[in-house]
Amino acid sequence: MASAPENEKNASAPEKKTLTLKSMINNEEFVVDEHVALQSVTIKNMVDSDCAGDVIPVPTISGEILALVIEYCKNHANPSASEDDLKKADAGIVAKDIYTLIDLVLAANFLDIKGLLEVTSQKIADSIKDLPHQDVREIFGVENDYTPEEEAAVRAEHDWAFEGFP
Amino acid sequence: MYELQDVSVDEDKISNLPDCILQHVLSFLPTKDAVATCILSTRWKDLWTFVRYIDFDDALLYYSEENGWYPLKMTCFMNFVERVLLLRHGSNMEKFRLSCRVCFNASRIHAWVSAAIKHKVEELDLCLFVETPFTLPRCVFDSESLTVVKIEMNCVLELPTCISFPQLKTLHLALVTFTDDDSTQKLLSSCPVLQDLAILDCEWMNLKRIMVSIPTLKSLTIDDLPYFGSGDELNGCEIKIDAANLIFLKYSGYLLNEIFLCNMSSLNSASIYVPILCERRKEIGYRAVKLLRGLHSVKSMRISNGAIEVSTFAV
Repeated sequence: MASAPENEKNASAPEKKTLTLKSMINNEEFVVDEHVALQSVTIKNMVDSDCAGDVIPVPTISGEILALVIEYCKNHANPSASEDDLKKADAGIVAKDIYTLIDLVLAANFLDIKGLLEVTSQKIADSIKDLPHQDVREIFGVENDYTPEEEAAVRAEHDWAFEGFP
Repeated sequence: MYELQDVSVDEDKISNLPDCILQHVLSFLPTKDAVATCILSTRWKDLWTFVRYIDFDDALLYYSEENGWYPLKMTCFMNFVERVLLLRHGSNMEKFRLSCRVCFNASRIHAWVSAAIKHKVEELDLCLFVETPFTLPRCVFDSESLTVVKIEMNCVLELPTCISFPQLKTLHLALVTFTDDDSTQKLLSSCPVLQDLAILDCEWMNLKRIMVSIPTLKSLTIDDLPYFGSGDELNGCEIKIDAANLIFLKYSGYLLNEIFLCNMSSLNSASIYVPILCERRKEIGYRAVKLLRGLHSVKSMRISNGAIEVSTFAV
């Protein structure tokens, strides 16, 4: 009988484990439920091998980007979200400028979150798809190091690929 | 320490994006565009060869057909497909999409599809406008790796005797003509984990009776709308559907094929669209009533006015 209230408490509010993620770029901290954070394979591996302290430092990812990543993980950790809901939510998360998307894809790669890597890569591909090559070079910080002869040879090698390009 | 890296690092970070991320992004471009990135710089020359998704589309040929460049451009397209398949390396191919609406060369397409299967492709999406007799490679129908198969082609679906799709979850067939009961039945019975089946505008005339009995099926779409008004088509195929885990059912058609639903206890949503024909209203009415009866446990249903109206002819 004495244990009844305790049982009740357990049933109504099971204790949720949380983790604190800290952006090492601007020291912003985020407290998230463990099952949300564990969608990152990198974090999961840290937790599984007991390498995770109270605060998990996340290098090279800003607070702004980390917030987007956590939003994605929260949505996908919600068991009642329908496929349609998730698609809409994903579209909202990746509706960003190309430079934010590049930061986000790097974060998804570092934290090893496959779904986020997919939607972000898809969005980047969509945004560069119809751009002239010079614009794509600028976006990715690429310097054209071909000689004119080499460039002509590459074009000739894959002529169909350049059909219809400006 | 971290503050020091903050802003100045940005430009460098972008130009130093790891190859694996760039290859990932390139996978989401149509293959033609992915290959074209080889022109950006020497570092990008071979990045495309690691793409996991292959997507060939001959759409650009539609225009050259009009202005006389066609034969030349067609060779150019076919050589491109072959070069990509030869030069591509890396791990297994995940998706292979081939859309040939104007460029049809049976032996080459046969070889390309075989190559994709050899690369252990998981998703195969073919859209072929067939001009001469065409049979898909046998290996398509006996694949351990395929999880998604979408075939749209305007010809007879020739099936081999050995069919095995141990991993297939999605099967969409469009515009094909089924050859006979046995082979079609064999195809539908060889997908032990199938979840999503769509049969879109296919020709059933060679079939008499088919049983779709797939316990894993969750979604079934039958679009059966093409109708050329050739009178006595009511002796179509009897399609019996037994799918205890089906959640979604969509049917659009004139009920020229008769549909029997049984065991629809999990059905959550159904959409039924039956336009009204001038002929044979009574028989079609009976079929509509029978179809609707099979849906008695559905939770939400969309139903066309025509389907209700036609049911009243049954009385």
